[in-house]
Parts: sequence; C-alpha cells; structure tokens
Amino acid sequence: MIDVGRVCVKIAGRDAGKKAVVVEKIDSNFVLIDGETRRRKCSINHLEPLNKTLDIKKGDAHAKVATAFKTLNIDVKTTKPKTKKTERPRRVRKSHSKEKPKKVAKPKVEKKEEKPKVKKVVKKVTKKTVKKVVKKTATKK
Amino acid sequence: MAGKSVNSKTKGKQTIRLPGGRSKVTVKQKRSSRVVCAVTGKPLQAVPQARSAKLQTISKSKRRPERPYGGVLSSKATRKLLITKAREEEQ
Repeated sequence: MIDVGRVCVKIAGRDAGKKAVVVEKIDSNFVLIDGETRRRKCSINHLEPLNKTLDIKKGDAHAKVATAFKTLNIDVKTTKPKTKKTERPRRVRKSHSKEKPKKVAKPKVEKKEEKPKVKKVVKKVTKKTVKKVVKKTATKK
Repeated sequence: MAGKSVNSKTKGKQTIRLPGGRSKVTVKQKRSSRVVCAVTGKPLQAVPQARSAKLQTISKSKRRPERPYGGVLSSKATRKLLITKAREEEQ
C-alpha cells in the first residue's frame, strides 16, 4: 500500500494533519516523506495512506514534489535558500547630558619620503693618501 | 494573636508544632488540578500543573505540546480524530 508516490496524511508529531507523499522507502518500518510536512524520515505507523497517488520518482527533489502537488490543488511552501546574515545597523542613543565639544580631526601630515641611507665611506688618512694629494696639487700648479 | 490571613475560609489550614512546644495555625497554598483529556478523561502530558499567576510567566511553547489539539486532547485521541477526518474526506 505504501509505495513511492502514495499520498498520506501524517497522524503524529507537530506536522499532524498535513498531507505528504512518499519519496523513498528506507526500511520495512521507515519511509522518506515530503510535501506540506518537513522533508524527513517518518515511521509507517504515523501515516494514514489515501487513495491518491502522484507521478514521482524515487528520491525526487522538493521542487518536483511541489509541482506534483499542484495537480491536487495543494500549495506547498518552498523555503528560500539561506543567505548570509547581515549586520544590523546599530542605533546611537542621544545623550541628554551637556553637549560635549566635538572632536576636531587632526590635520593629516604627509609623511616625507625616506631617502635610502647611504653609508659614507671614510678613507683612512695614511702616508700614501697624503703623497697622492700633494702630487695632485703640484701638477695643478 | 493569630494573623488575619488565618481567618480566610477558602484556604486550607494546618497546625504546626513549634520547637518551643507551642502550636501554630498556618494557611496552605492553593493547588491547581491536573489538565485532563476532553475525550478519554486521562491526565495530559507536557502541561504544567500551576495556577494562572505562574502560568502567565511560562512561555506559550512550554504550556502545551506543539501538536494540533495540544493541551486539549491526548495523543491517541488526536490520532483517531485525524484518521476519521482523512477517511471522511475520501468519501
């Protein structure tokens, strides 16, 4: 009696009284249902089968089940896909105390470009360096 | 001298023996009765036994089960009712 495509009414749980269709047979005791109820496993003892059937294949998605239910004039809710939560804008309370002076923004100071440091080469003063300098001055004269 | 609250006729009274040897009359708190199924008459589950003042502080989801006819009918009675409704719709 309870096969893929069979329309049932759920008897127990918070979905009791709602119509569902069998999507897949898991076990001799359990069945996967979908429709007005949540898409989940359900025991056969908590279902009351009806004479109606739907054109559904094993393991069909929720969207196909919803289109199949339209033939019975039953609207099945399709939930929206979950989106990322956006941060709520925070409310700023107005202070009833004395008005505080407004903060003045400091002027921006442009940073100077740092020149690359160059090591100064300091030549040691020796006899050779002195002789060279003396020769140079003598030639110039 | 006994307090004025002891003079009430609606509340139950109880005598207590104090450690000094003398006895004292105290007033009992009123207790509510258990909620019962409208069809079978058996006490319902998941419904707290508390007076209205305390029940108002409890959230709505904790006062009754999340089920059609929750807090009114038992689970067995609801199943029978839903089965008869489904079979009547077919006919």
